[in-house]
Amino acid sequence: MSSIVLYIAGGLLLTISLLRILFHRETEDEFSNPLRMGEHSVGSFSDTRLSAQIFGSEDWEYVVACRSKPIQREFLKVRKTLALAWVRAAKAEAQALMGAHRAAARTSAHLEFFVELRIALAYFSFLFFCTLLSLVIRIRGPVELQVLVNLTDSRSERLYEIVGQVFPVAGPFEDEFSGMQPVRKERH
Amino acid sequence: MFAYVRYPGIYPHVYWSTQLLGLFFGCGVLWEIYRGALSPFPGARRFARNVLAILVTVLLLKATLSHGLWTQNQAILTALDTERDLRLVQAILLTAVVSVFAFYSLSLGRNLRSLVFGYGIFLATSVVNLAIRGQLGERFQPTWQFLQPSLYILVLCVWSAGMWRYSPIELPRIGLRIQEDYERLARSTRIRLRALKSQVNKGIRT
Repeated sequence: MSSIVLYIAGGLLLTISLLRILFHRETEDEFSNPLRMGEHSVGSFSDTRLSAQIFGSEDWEYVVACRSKPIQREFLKVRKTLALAWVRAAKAEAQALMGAHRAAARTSAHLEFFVELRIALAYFSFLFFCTLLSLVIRIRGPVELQVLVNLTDSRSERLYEIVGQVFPVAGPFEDEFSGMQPVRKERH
Repeated sequence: MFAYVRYPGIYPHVYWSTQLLGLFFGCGVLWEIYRGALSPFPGARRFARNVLAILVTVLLLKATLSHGLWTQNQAILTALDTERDLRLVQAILLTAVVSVFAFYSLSLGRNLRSLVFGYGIFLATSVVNLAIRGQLGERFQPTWQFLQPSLYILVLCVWSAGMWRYSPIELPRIGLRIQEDYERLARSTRIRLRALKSQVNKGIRT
């Protein structure tokens, strides 16, 4: 019986992959290049102070001290929206970085397999933590999730670090490669 | 069909021997998908080649180890089992290639997309059908006799619709732009470093 499960799983896996390429449509956004996305940057998600403020317990403790249930409810509602926006922003930044990396890597004749594998693993583990974080925020609320946020942050840093080794892009906030500015102006 | 109508006695032999031939043609289709889709993308091709090499090594190792464990009675493989196993290997390899297409967001073009999709349907349904046929035996035979040709016709329809007219793969222009940007970046960094180095040298001399 276990062997039939293996064959059915193989068939299903192939079907899912096929459906993915069937419904996949390329968009310009997918290839948006972080080297030229300065003004479209989605936010300061990598600022640890911001994430500590959103997901920490300091504000919540202050609201709890007010002893007003409607205020607490409203606070959690707003904070949940904010936390989910933070996760979306983090994902969008990583997707933009990966879009640029993929566009460069697929035509590169000097691609290194194990580096690519590390990048893919780092990216998928980051996406996994983002999904987990979104799920936990929806179920449990955004307060006191610092540990999970730090884990997600560390995955994001890892991804930027590995991609940076092969494709030196500017970080999400610092414009390390300001030498690119004239090129950007020429093209827009 | 000719053998089925005129010589029903030899039909099973013709069927199973052409199935084996079909397996070889299947490998040809896989090769065409790999070659056609990845030749304009050397990076993605290199990645896919490594993934496929690892998969083939793992599958060969598994086959060798399983063979070592067989007893004489267990080692009798029917043609159906052989076909099911080889189709599963092809399905795994196609899944890997399709995953590389998805990861690198490669544009396949209408012709290649239909080739991948049609052959993918054929492989996925063959693996599942053959596995169920192997498990349930004769009970599944009438359903299998209906399902297999129907799905084959569906695959032929997908191929015909997708390959009716020639449509080449469109290479994304943005990929070239990003490469250009990267080269500009590397060049400007080199110029800055050279300027910095000459300033440092001047400073040391004075």
